[in-house]
Amino acid sequence: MKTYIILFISLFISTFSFSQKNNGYYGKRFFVDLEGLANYPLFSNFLNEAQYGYKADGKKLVTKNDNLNTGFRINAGYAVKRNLGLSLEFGQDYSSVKIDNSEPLYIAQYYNVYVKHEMIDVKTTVFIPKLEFATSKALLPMGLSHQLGFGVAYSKAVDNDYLYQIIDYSTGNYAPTLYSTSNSDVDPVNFNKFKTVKKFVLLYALNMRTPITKSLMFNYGIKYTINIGKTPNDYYYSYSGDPTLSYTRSVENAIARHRSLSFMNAFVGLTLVL
Amino acid sequence: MIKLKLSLSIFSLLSIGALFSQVDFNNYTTAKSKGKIPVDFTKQTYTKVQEDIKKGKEELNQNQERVFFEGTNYAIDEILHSGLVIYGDEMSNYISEVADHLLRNDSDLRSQLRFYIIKSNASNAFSTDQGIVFVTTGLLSQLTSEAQIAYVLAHEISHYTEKHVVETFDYKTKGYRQSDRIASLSQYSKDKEFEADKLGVKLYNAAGYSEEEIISTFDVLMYSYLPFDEVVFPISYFNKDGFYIPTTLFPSKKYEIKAIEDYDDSNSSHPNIKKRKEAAEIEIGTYSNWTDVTQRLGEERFKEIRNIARFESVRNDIIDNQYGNALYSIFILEKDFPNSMYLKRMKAQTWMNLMLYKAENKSSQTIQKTSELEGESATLHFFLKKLSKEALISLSLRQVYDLYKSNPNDEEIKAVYTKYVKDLAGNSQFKLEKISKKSFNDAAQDFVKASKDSIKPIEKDTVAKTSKYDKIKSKKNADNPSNFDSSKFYLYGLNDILDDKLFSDLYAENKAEWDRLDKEKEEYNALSKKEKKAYNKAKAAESEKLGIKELIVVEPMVLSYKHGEVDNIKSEKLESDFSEAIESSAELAGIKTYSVDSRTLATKGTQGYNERSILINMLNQIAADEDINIFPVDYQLLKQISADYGTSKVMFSLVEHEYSANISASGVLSSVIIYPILFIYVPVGILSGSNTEMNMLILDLESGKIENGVSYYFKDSPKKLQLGAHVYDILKTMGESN
Repeated sequence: MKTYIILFISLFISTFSFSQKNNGYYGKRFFVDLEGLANYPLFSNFLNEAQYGYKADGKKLVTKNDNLNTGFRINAGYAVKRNLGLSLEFGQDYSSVKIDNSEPLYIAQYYNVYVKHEMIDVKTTVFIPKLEFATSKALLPMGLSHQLGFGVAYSKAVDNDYLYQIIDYSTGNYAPTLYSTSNSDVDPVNFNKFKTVKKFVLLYALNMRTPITKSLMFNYGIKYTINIGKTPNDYYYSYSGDPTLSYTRSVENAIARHRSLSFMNAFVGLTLVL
Repeated sequence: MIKLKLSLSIFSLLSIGALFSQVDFNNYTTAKSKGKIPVDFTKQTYTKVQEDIKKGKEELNQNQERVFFEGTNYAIDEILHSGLVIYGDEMSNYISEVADHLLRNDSDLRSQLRFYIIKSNASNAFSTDQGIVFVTTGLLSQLTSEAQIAYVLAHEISHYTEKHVVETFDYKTKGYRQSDRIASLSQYSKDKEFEADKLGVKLYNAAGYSEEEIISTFDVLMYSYLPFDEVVFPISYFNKDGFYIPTTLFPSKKYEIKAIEDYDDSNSSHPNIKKRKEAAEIEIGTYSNWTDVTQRLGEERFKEIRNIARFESVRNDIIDNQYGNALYSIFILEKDFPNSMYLKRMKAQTWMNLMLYKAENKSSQTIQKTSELEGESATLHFFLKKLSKEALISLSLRQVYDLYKSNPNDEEIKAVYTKYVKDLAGNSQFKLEKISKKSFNDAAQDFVKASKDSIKPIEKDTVAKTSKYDKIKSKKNADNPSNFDSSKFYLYGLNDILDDKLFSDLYAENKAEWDRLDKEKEEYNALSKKEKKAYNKAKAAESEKLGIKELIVVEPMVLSYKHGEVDNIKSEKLESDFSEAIESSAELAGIKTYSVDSRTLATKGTQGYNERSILINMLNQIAADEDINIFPVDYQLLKQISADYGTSKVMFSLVEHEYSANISASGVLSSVIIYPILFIYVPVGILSGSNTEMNMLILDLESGKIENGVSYYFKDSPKKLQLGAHVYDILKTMGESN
């Protein structure tokens, strides 16, 4: 009997048309996502020109890969239709880039040396306007949605205190001195002359928002990005009186490559529905 | 001492008298549950399963216990909550009293058993391991004595005491549908049936009933597929005044009853009747203390109980759209109860529904198949089958009109009549202008007279003055004496209806409305694709706004599937969430809801249970065919519910959910080859694996019309807040007015 009724209800209802009127999630259509994101830079680690990455371990440099990139996003949106939303995503990513130690550094007193440099922290700021869509009878912002966005990402090296070691080109030996960028005469990276790396970002995200209360949701999913834009210094820089500029440019290149090779992030967060 | 005995006897008589109140069949309404609601109906199934598992069953291992208790409890509760079961009514009380007598020496066993009635025309009785014995109204309507009921109960009690359900239960967990579980409750092996027959005889004998009634009970069972009585259906039954049905529409032969005792039972769970009779006779022979008692509670009371069951059988047939059977039962019952308004109302409904089914070319579903024609009822089924659309419409109009005219103050019959005329006006097969203004007899006489006149030569002038079109019209006019054709009997004998101005006005009013709708349809068909889309959208938006401020919410249903099968426990838990979500969201949307739900029966009691049953029955009736807007069989009770709650809008809802990750082996293989795709394919497959469909139907209790239906499909789990959000969305719109 129950099956009979169930079949009837299911079949009968299919004869009704549906107006797509949007009353929102419990009457609310504005939403703000606060997300934390993380990724393992798989491709960046394996496809980067620099073979090794270094991290400071006390007063020495040890070989280490960049294992975790993090970030956050604030996304403000509005459900225009029950299955269509518009939003603007702002956020920052925090990562580190490996520097290729085969890059020569022209320092006056050493003339031509290599540098083994601690990975440089990078801060990327993103702005992405997005279109969010779901199945026809969905009720955004709740549930599974697909997001498409196109925006910009600005990446910059963070001027921290890094350790580096100089290798003498003529002997191939490491100089015994371990320098710190804060107290060295010559900092291989000139943060003052560092150019912001700009990339256009094409985003696709699969987003699931599961309600916790009538105005709060648990938000999780995966963001896929393609960073578009040329590598800023696609040439070898010859000595021009500034011994660090060549190295700085190579860092900019490394950041650009790192961005290009970073295309997937998992995220979790909360969504406030207003 | 003698004085004390006398006092006790008088007290006993008074007690019986107080319990046995005569039923007013002239003003009968369908049987309802009475008294305190039993725990069987209020306890949640999951709780029952847990309690049973806690008690355990020696003969079963842990896994078998789980499968058994889950399987039986969910199957039994589906029956208990089907809207068909009643308790505490005259029939349930009667069989309980018969059981009291059967088990008067075993109070412990008696205390374990509960007896309920199922409103169904299937002749059946079955017991469950939980101690519930179900008896159908179909079986009660067929029996001829209390002793036969006693034997049926003794048989079922023996199934219970011998734990036959446990022994025959299929413990497989896969591929078992709930409907199979329910069916298996009354199916045992042949050995178990013989054993129950044998032990039943023992219990029956100890109760002091007549031996003859045992064998006659088997006859009842054998012929129970036939109507509850074999009465000749007169071929003049529908002839009235000027309305005449040609005898050629009735069968020229009798349809014999085909049932035999010694049928092939190799594919049946029960042994054939011959074998059962023989075995029972051997068992009967082992006892010598037989009596000739067939009625302990009195013949009058037995007949009353049987009549209740027979009255219910008419309603059951109408709900199941078995209109041929319903008309035959009414025909039998109206001989004894000619003034029964219940029968008249059911008759009016049956004719109207027949007309609706015929119009949709679906009347064969409502009448027995030719291969099934047997016994006296075959005459009526044969006739109904032979009737053309036009003939059935005329006959139904005659019947419904006459019932209305003879009972103009009966609200239900008036409502049937009003709906009938409305539907008739929209029926393209019926043309009012084609109907003759003469009775059949007058038309026939005029024809004879005209035939004689036609021998005279026609004057030349008359022929010349008549145009081609007048001649055509004249040929089509049923009132033209020379056009009389007895095979078109349905055009005659409706003259009094045509002359009834109230009928003509009501018909014209409805016809104008149908014409308007037809015109609207034509205009719609002329629209471009884009215009149609816009029109549909606007129309949908308009139809969704129902201006509902109050709503009766009938027990939301949830089916959660796991590996293609219903996960009963999860479904039950989700049903509770869904129910709460509806209540909370409706409040937020500004709609006051009244819950009619098995979960609230502990507090709402029997009244809540009866309301729920009536509403579920209504949905069952409507569910039989979505194309036909049927008249609700419990019209008056539904009106009462509507009046009690202050709203006629009722909502039925259903959620179905299944999680199945959208990941296939070929998909994984392909995405491994195109490596980066794997990182999209797998998460998308996992996150989009939850499929939920939510359906809601809004019905109007008084008209039985479906006001609106909404279906939502979303990729999310059916948790309370998710469901609530969708419910809010639906109800918010429905609460708005155009």
